[in-house]
Amino acid sequence: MNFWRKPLRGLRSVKHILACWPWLYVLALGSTEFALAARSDLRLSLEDSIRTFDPRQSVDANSQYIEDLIHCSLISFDPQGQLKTGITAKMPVWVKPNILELTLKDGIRFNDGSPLTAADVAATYLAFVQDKSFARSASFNTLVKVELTDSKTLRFELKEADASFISNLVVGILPSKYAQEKQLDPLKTPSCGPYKLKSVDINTITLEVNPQIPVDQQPKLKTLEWKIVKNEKTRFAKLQTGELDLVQNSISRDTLKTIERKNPQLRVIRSPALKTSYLGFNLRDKLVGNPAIREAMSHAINRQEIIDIILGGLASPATTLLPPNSPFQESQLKSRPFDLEKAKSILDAAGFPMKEDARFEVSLKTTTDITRLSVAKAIASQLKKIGIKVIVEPMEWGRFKQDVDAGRVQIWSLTWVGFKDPDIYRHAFASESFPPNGANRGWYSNPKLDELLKKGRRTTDEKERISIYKEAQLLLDQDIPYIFLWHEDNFAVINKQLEGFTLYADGRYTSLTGAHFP
Amino acid sequence: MVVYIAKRLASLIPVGLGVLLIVAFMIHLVPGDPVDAILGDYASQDDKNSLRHALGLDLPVPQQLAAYVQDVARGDLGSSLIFHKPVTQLLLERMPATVELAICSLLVALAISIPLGVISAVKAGSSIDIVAMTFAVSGVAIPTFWLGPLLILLFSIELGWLPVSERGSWQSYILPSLSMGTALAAALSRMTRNSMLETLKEDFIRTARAKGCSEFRVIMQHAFRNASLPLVTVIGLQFGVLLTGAIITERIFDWPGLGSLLIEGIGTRDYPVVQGCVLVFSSSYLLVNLLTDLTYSLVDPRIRLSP
Repeated sequence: MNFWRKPLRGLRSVKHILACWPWLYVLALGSTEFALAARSDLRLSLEDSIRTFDPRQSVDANSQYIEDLIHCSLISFDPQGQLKTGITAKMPVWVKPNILELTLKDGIRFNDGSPLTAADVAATYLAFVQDKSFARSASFNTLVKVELTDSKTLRFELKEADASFISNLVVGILPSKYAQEKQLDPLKTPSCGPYKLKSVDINTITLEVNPQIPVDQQPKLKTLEWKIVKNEKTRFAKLQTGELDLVQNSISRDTLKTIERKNPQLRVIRSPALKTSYLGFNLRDKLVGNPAIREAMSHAINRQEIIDIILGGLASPATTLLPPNSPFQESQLKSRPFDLEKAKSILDAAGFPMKEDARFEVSLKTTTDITRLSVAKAIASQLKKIGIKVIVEPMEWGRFKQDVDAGRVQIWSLTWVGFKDPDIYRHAFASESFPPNGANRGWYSNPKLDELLKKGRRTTDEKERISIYKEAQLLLDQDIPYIFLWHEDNFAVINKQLEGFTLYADGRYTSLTGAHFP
Repeated sequence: MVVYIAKRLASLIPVGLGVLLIVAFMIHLVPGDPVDAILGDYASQDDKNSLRHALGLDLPVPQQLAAYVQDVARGDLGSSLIFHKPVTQLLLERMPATVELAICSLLVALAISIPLGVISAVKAGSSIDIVAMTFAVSGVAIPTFWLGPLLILLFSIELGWLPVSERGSWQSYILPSLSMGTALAAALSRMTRNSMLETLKEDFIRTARAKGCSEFRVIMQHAFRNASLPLVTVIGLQFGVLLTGAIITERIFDWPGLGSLLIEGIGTRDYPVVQGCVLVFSSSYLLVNLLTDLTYSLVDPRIRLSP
């Protein structure tokens, strides 16, 4: 006890306090300086491992997020997912229907100080022509050759006109010497993005600012430390303890409801994403192949109720695949109103009267993801009200995809993610895209739509493309090969102190280059 | 002894080969295609076919397995289809984390279970015994996926004493080791108690007491040493479980071990990674069993290992 009392008695005396004041002043000054020094590091989480740092191999979202920060690309996307220039001086121009010309900006350098040239760009893209084993080669099947017009100008020649090709020009540019190598050492490969790879551990990836960027243009966050945290509850705990500053999308929606109230140091932000959820139908099935059944279902699903209850309000009802901010979206389309009586009358008129407990039974396959499963159960419960008995079959992803691709399915629920160009309609609905050649998994076929989608791909005039795809959307709305459910939002839980971070529709972390702590 | 060890090691080869073949065959039966995971959804069928051919995935399964076994015999476990790295490198990167966690968990388990088991046997029927055995029952009953988050909630979020996860500082080992070690401690303390109770009834214990040995010496030197033989068996088997069964703990605590690599491999149908992990798991299990057998002769000199 004496140990505690003695110094306290001492401190109580005015003499001692006065004697201490210079030291207290120094301490106070020091702490003020400490408080004023803004943090320049950020700790973020990804829910899965980074599969590769090689831009030629990155097809998964997490690898592309890192690629976006450490590499530079010809084309980039704005927060809404619309195309914008990357290292090109202006948007590429179609000089012929199958030849795209672009000019590079001046003064771009790799982080080893060497200048980025048109030859580097050509070598990076020619790698896909020469070696089809690169995971990203599939996006460049139509590419025939890349020619240098001068030191800053290139021409991409395609087998056939393909307006969607521009949206593929997001591959990180490699120095030509490295582009010819099969395997790359990520820590030794020069890159030209705002950050460079500092270290790679199994669970931690550290990026630091690219030293070749002029100091006044460098990101204020000097270090980005990415933690691979696979468990959702662990991610949340790390946010609570301050071990993480930013988690995007991978926190449960239930947790979000109370997160700000219980954790005043955290903030939730949200923004529309390029994610459209839908119910797909196997049109070869005698039941769901009947358009009356699909129309009745469309009237019987209360989208807003599911959005509010299961998705925590983080979505908006969809009428088509493209999100509202896309210039290609047909804004005249309206959702079929939620109307149970109308749905019942459609089924009655189509010859599906109510029997003992149901009119008929269908199966709905979905993945084992807890949110997807909850949505499927909610849809089953809603359809039961019009006499459709839905058997929900949750499946592991590999099995689910195999069943859907093979047509062993009646109805399935899925989400299209990250699409940038309306050519996605060809991939999803054209007759040439039946599995295994594409993702027309419902075996939908409409010759008029096929013609429109071919034209849309060949046309390089944006206005003409817009009118083509709007017409295509009207056709799809009539035929209902999908019931479009909702466009999901991106959301992030961030350290309240972090400023300048905005969500990108495709989930990229591009805005970190402008984010900072005050 | 050397002959015995050599024979046991040689017997590992057919067992390991059997396990390898069964697992490799089963992973090929699981629906899903690694090529889909590598090339994504937009790849054409031609691209998928050519990659499948390049990776040898278009060959009949028995032919793929035969080629794999030949490669393994040469010490080549192949390359990960997803991470584009040699499987051996991936395994070596992850193995230390798994082994460290298993050892720490075993130490936690032994530190809790042996004193608890011995005391509750000596004080059988007392309130100490009841409390200890209540812990034992609870420990066995509480699943890791519940205990782990609970420990994080208490020690990381509420008290702020320990990091939530991530292997690094010595503090980061505490929660995962506690989480894994508790269940094992519970099982071992019950085992220790039962074994001690039986031994304490033996004639030689009465003799030791009659000779005037101190109670501590009777319990630790005479009773515990004799009671520990069944414990060694259980500890050996459980260490194998700790090495191979840390998947949930690794997931909760971001532990970059083999369990999480295996789960990723299964999810992406990365056949070489799954096969490599299983090969390591089965080999370590067999080796731990061998070590357990060898330990018998050290604990009980009456046991002789004959080839």
